[in-house]
Amino acid sequence: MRNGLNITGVSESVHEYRDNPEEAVADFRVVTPLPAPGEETAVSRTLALRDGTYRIARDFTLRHRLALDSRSGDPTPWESMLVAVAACVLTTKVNGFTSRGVTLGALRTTARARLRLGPDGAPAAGAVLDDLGWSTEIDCDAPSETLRSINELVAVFSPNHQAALDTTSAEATVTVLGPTGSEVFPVVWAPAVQESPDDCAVEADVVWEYGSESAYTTRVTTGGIRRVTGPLVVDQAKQMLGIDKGPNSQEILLSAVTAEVAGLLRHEPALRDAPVEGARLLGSGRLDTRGMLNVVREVPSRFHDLRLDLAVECDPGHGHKLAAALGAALSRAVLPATLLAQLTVAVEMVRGGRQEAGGLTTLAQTEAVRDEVTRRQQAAQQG
Amino acid sequence: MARSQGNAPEPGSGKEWTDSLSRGRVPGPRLDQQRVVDGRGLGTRSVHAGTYEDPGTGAVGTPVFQTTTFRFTEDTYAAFDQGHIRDVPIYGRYGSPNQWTVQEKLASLENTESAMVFSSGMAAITTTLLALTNHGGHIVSSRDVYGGTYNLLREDMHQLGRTVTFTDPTDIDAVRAAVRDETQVLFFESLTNPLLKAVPLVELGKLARERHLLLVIDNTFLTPIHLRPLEHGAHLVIHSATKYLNGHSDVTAGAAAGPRKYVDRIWAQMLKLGGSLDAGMCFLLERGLKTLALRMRQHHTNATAVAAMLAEHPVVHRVHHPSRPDYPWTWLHEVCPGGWGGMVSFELKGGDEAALKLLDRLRLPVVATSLGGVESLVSLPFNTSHSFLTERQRVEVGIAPGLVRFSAGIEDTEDLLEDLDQALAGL
Repeated sequence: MRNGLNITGVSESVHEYRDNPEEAVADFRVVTPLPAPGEETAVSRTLALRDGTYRIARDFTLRHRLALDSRSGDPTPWESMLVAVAACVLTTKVNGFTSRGVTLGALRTTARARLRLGPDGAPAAGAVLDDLGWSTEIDCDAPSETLRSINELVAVFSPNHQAALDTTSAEATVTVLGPTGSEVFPVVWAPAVQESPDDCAVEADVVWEYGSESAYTTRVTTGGIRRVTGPLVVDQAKQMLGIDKGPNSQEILLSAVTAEVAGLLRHEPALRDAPVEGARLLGSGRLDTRGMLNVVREVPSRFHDLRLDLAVECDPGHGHKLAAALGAALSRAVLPATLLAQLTVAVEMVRGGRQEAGGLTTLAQTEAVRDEVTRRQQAAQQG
Repeated sequence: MARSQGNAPEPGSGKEWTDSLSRGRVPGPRLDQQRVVDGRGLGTRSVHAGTYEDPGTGAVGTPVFQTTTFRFTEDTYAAFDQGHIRDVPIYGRYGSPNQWTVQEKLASLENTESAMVFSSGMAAITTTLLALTNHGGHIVSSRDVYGGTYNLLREDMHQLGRTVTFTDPTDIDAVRAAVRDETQVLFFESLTNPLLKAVPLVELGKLARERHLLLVIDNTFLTPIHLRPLEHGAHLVIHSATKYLNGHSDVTAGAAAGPRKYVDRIWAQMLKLGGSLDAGMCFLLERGLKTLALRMRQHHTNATAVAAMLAEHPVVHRVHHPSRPDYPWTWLHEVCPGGWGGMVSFELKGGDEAALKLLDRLRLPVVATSLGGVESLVSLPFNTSHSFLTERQRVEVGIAPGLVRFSAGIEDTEDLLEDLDQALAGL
């Protein structure tokens, strides 16, 4: 047991994933009911996740304030997106250092980005988060070479970091639930970018507690006012080396996306005449451990297969109108556009005030590292 | 003391990102000194599997390691460092050679990787269900389960953040309908108490796989001699080892068996809940298990003979036993061709009053709770195991007035029949 993690099952799991790929897949889900037009917050619930061949119940509520300047004490979806990246990076680092036999003293990851603002002070439509980056402060005795190596590998294998680097499209649908069955309507969307010179700073701080448990705080500064939220807890399910103390970083990402889209959707003009009472937005996404552990090179290491489904109980005749409304909301949203874009992310590792590793990460660069890891693994197996 | 067998992964500074790729999970925990007789007959495995062969004395039986703690070695420190503390003798609650001996015997009998013993059957059930579910999770079970289990599921699980739905355990459609999005575990007894209802094991296994659920089967009544649920789709098997496994009414213990990927989790939960079994009880349980196959044959012979005799008796209204032609759950015969243990239930025409009189008149069977011992035991569900149910609830699960639960021991069959006959004659 090191750093609160018991990793003895890792090697066995690698073999199990090879024998039965289904065991490697974890499907996360979050549901966010459509908030009423006057409500300041969106409230998401985590749903049971499928982890390989069994289910894991998840019982967490995540709240988001939908306007940057509202007085709610909850983080905004854009802050939570940074939490999702920072927490995922931090968890991957804890796993990486633990597998190298490094005992950690302290670990903290801060993610930062610029959020473009429209003339009304709200996030600019369809604009990606700018200047995304994270920095990790570490206290441990490992040599600098290990720190550089782990930092490089985390950029390759942290699923949410990879989702930011790579093109991660959200497939969207509307499901109309009628008395005699359900009908699914596909949603077409593309970011409708609103150019804007204004922006604000968004930050998330994730501080490692023990094992896979961390606490996070967030900050956003608009109009000279700095709003801070937290601390809140992020953790893994106990079946995933955690203690079930909070939602994990993938669930936080899904709740951020569904909260932002639900917040925009409720104001869509097309919804004015639609019966949306009880409507809920389901967000889902997948981790495949074969990619995260590089068991199969072709499998992505990123959080992928992102899906959004708006479920509404109404007459199927409303389906196309609802699909158009969801498409319009998605097109105006920041987070789906951010995930869709191929970003460059600045990363660094700092120890004792000194930068041990750093630079810009791109998809091409991390893919090259993964190729090299694959080559070394194959050589080790043949040798 | 040597460490247990196996090649646990060993992370370290020279390792690659994905850790050592050699297989880490091994059967056990198992020491090099333990006998492995996998693939032999169940009688042979009952006798020999897991026995610790003491290299110093050549003792035929496993010595009692009456110690709570073990001297640290390099392996101990490595186990702490790397997390495989289940496989190294460290501390009594974590595991001991006596636990590993009896666990290996159980794992071998169940044809699986690993087993655990607990301080009671309820400790096994509580620990297993908490280990396999999460806050917000849901369990599908049945009101037909043992009273202690029912009380745990009804009174405590919701306080621990788990909800439970009780269904008819013999109706696969009812079980399927009870499954929710957050359902994690199906928990049933292979043969229920006291009516010997058989759950549709194969179909439950299919449902569990189809819906990504874990099927946990309490197999106390049948034991691995008659049924190995893991071979029919269950993920884990539970026992009250107090009953047939030990078989001498002198040990309170429980057990769980299955693949290490699940049993390791149960072990980690046990460390916190604390229901481990001490060395002395492990020794007795191991000794009892050595005769399991032999005993189960006689339990089955006696129960079947008792059921046949009761079915012909004029004061008996109905007999609940898999050997009877009116037994409704015939799928049991397909998965258990070799026998059904020692339990028989029957209803007397004179109701509970006649049942109480019968208990007064019996000379050989002891009127007592529990079951599965070498001595025959008899009790009435209405004032013992199912007294927690209202009369309406008892009727709902089929506990009719005058129901008697008979646990056939291993006495001579003729003696049991004669005693029952004289007792029934006076009613």
